[in-house]
Amino acid sequence: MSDRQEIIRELAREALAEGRVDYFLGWGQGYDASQNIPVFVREVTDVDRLQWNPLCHHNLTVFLKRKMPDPPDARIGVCVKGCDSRTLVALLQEGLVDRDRLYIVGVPCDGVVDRRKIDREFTGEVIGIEFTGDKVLARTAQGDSKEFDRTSLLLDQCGGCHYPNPRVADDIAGDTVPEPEGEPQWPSLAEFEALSPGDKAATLAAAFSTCIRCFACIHVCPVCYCWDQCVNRSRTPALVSQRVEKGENLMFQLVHMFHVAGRCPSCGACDRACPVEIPLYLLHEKMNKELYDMLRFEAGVDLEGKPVLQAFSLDDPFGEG
Amino acid sequence: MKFLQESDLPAFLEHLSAEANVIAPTDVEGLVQFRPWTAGTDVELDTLLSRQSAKEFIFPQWEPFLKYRYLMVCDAKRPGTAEEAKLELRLTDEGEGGGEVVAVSDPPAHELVMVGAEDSATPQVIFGLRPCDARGFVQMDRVFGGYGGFYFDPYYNSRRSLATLLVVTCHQPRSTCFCRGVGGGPAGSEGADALFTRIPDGFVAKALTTKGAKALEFPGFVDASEAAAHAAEEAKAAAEEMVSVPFELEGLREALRASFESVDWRELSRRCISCGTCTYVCPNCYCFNVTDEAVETQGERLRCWDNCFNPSYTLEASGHNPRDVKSNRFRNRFNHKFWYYPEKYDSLLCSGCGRCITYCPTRIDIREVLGVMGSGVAESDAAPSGRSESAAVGEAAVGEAAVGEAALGEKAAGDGEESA
Amino acid sequence: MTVVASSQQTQEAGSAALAEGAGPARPIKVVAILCNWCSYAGADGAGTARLVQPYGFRVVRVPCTGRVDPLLVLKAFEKGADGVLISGCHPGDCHYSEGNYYARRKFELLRRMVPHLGIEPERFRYTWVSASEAARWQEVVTTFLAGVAALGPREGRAL
Repeated sequence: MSDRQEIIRELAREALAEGRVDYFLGWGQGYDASQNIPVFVREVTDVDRLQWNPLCHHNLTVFLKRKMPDPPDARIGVCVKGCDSRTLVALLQEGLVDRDRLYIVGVPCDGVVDRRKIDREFTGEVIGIEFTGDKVLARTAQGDSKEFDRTSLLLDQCGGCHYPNPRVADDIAGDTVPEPEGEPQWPSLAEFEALSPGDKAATLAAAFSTCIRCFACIHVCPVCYCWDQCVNRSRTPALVSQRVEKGENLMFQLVHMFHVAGRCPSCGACDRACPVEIPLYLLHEKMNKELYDMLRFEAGVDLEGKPVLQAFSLDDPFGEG
Repeated sequence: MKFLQESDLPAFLEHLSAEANVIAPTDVEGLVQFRPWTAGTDVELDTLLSRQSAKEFIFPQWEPFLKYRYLMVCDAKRPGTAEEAKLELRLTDEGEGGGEVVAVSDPPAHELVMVGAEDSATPQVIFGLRPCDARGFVQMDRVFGGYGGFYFDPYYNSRRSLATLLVVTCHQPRSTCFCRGVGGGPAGSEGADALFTRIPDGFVAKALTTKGAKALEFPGFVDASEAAAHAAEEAKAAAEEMVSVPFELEGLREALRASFESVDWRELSRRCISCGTCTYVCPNCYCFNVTDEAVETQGERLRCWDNCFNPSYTLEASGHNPRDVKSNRFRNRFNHKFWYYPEKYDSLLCSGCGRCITYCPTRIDIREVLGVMGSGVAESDAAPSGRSESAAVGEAAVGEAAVGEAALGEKAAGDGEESA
Repeated sequence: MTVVASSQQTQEAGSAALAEGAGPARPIKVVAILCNWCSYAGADGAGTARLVQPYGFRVVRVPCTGRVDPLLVLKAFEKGADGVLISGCHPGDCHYSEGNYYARRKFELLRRMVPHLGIEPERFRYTWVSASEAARWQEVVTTFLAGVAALGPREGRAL
C-alpha cells in the first residue's frame, strides 16, 4: 500500500511539474491521524500531503460533477479507486465531464476500512489509526489502543466488490488486484430481505425517522448532479414536503435513489456522509441488484455503454405480454 | 449545592415528567440523540455529545405558523335560523365536514380565511444538555427574543419560556471541542437553569435560576457533602484542562473584515460539498425558510430550517443569486458567526461544540478556517504565490458576471470562478 | 373522465368487489395512470360499452407512460393510495414510438422495489391495454381492485 502512495505522489509531482494539470485531487490526512479528507494539491512541494491507505474512502469524482470543478475549465488530476472510477464512467457516458481535461490516476483497491466499525470498538475518542501490513492499530485520546485485522474492518460492501481495479485511467498506481469471479453478491441485503412486508416497512420507517434532510447524501454523490435544482428542494412542483417526517424523508431518499438508478455503482459515499448513519445501502444496493437481475447491468463498467434507464431494447423481457 | 444519587436519576426524571415533558439524551438506532424521555429509558450521559443539539425542541425543524383555507359555499351548515346562516370554518386535516369548528365567520363564500396555528408549547425540561448546547439557546434568544428592539418571535418564545434547561458538565471533552476558545467552557453555565456535575456515585447540582430551583425540588436531593462538592470542582477543572484554545479571538472580527476578498476562501472551501450538515447539527444556527404548502383550497404555512450552504439560499424571485458561488456561501457562514452576529449582538454565534467538524462529510474544520482567516496568515492549501494569474483575473470577472446573470443554467466557461 | 356508477347494477358490482376483501374500514383508493392514446381510450370504451367496473379508482391521464416518473407512483403511495395501476400502449404500438420502451424498464425496476419498501407487490401493477381492448380493461381493473381490496387499506406505512 505504501508503494501505491509513492506512485501516486510521483504521478502527481510529474503532472504538476509538467503543467499538465492545474491541480491534483487525492486523499490526505484530516484534523487528526484518524481522519481522511479530499486534498487539492497545486504545488509540487505539497504532493507529500497525498496519502494512500485503507481510510481513503472519499469518492473524489464528486468534485468533477456539474458546477463543482473550480474553475469550470480547470485541468484536473484525480485519483479514483474501482468504485470511484465507475461514477466517473457514468459521468463520461453522459458527457458531463470533459475527458480531455482530466488526468485520471487509477488506484487498485484492497478494500476500504469502515471508520464506524473502529469507533464502535471504543468508548473513548479515536484519534489515530495506523496500518502495518494487514494490521490496523487504533488509539484513543484516553490512551486505549487495539489492534485489528484489516479484513475484519472493511466496509460491508467491499465484501461484494467485483471491480476493485479502475475501469478508466490514464495511469495506474501500482499492480492491479485480482478481480473476484462469479456473480455479484449483495451480502448487506440478506437480513433485510428476509423480513415480512410489515417488518420492512417498520424498519425503514424507524431508519428514516432520524433523517435531518441535510442533503449530505445528495451533494456527496457524484452522479447526483442536479443539486442546486434538485426536485427535493423545489417548491413548484413540490414533490417532497418541507415537513421532516418519516414518510417525507423516505420519499426524499427515493427521489435520490431513483434518479441515480443506472448510474450508481453503490460506492457508498452517501452512507458515509450521512451524519445520522441511516442505512442508505438498503435502497441503492437493492436497486443495483434488481438492475443486475433485470438486464445483467452494472453501472459505470463500460465506457461505451449507456446508463440502463436512458436506453431500451426492443427485446426487453418485461411487462405483461 | 445539592447531591443526587446516580440511582435516583430515573426517579428524578419521573418526578419532573409529572408537570413537563422530559427530554434527555437516549439511544436512537445506535446513536445518542435528545428525545422525549419515558420511564424505563436509559439516559446516555457517557457519550459526550448527542449527534444533534437539542435546539429542535425549542426551535423545531418544521412547524406550521398558520393554516389557511378558502371558504367554499359547501362549507356552510344548512341554516335553520338566521344565526346559523354564518359559515363555520372547519379547519382540519380530515377534509371537508370533519373535525372541530375552529371559527365562525360571516364572510361571503370563496373568501380566504387564515387561522393561526395553535400554540402547542407545553412545559419541557431538557436534561443532559452540555454547556455548549445551553449556550446555543442563549445565542438564539438574542435573535428571536426582541433583543435591542429587533424581532420578537412568539413561536420560539412560547416554547423557550416554558423550557427548563438542566446542564450536565463535561467529563471528557473531545479533541474537536473548543468551547474555551469562544468564551465558554466544559463547566460553563450560560443558559443553564441548573448545573449538574457528575461524580463517581451521583451528581452535584446547583440551581442557577428560579426554574432551576423548582426543578431541584425533588426529595432525592440532599445537601452535598464537602467531599462531593470538592470532587465536582476537581472534575470541572480537569475537563477545563482538556479543551484547547485553537485560535485568537482578539481582533478576529477586524481580521475577517480585512480578508473578505481573500482568495484563501476558495482554497478553504474546495472540499465543501454545500450540504447543510454543519448547520443542522449546530446548537445555534437559526436560519429558516417560510414555505406555503397547499392542496387545492387549503394549506399551511411552514417554517423550516434552512442552511446557508444551500445553493439556493439567497436565490431571489428575480432569479438573481448573490451567493451563487460556493466560496461566498462558505465565507458567509464563518463571517455570520464571528463578525456579523457579534457586531449586532456583541456575542459570538458559536459555542465551540465541534459537531460541525465531526460530522462534516469532508471534515472541514472551523478551527483551521478561523486560524487562517482570522490571523491574516495564509496557511491554506495553496500558498499565495502559487495562485495563478487567471484565478486573480477570474475573481474580477465574476464580480461583473454575477450581476444580472440568471440563476439557472451554467455560467460561461472561462469566467474563472465556479458557481454552486 | 370520472367513472361514475349510474346504475344499480354497477353499484352492486362495485360493492361486491369491495366486499370480497376483509370488509375494510374505509373504501380502498387506487390511482390508475393511463396513457391518453391507448389505455385511457380503452377505459373510456369500457364505460361506453357499459361494462361493469368496480369503484375505488381515480384515473390520471398522461400523454404517454414514458412520461411517468416512478416517483409519481411512490408519491401516490405516500399520499395514501392503497394501490397504483399503470397502463399504456402495447410495446411496439406507442403513440410516440418509443415512450413505453423506456417506461417498461423504469416500471420493472419500480415493481421490484415496491415490495422492498414494505408495500405488498399486489398493490402495484403495470400493464398494456389498447384503445380497442375495452373488455381487457374491465378485466384488468376488476382483478387489480379485487386484489387490493383483499389486502385492505394500507396500514403501518413507512411510505
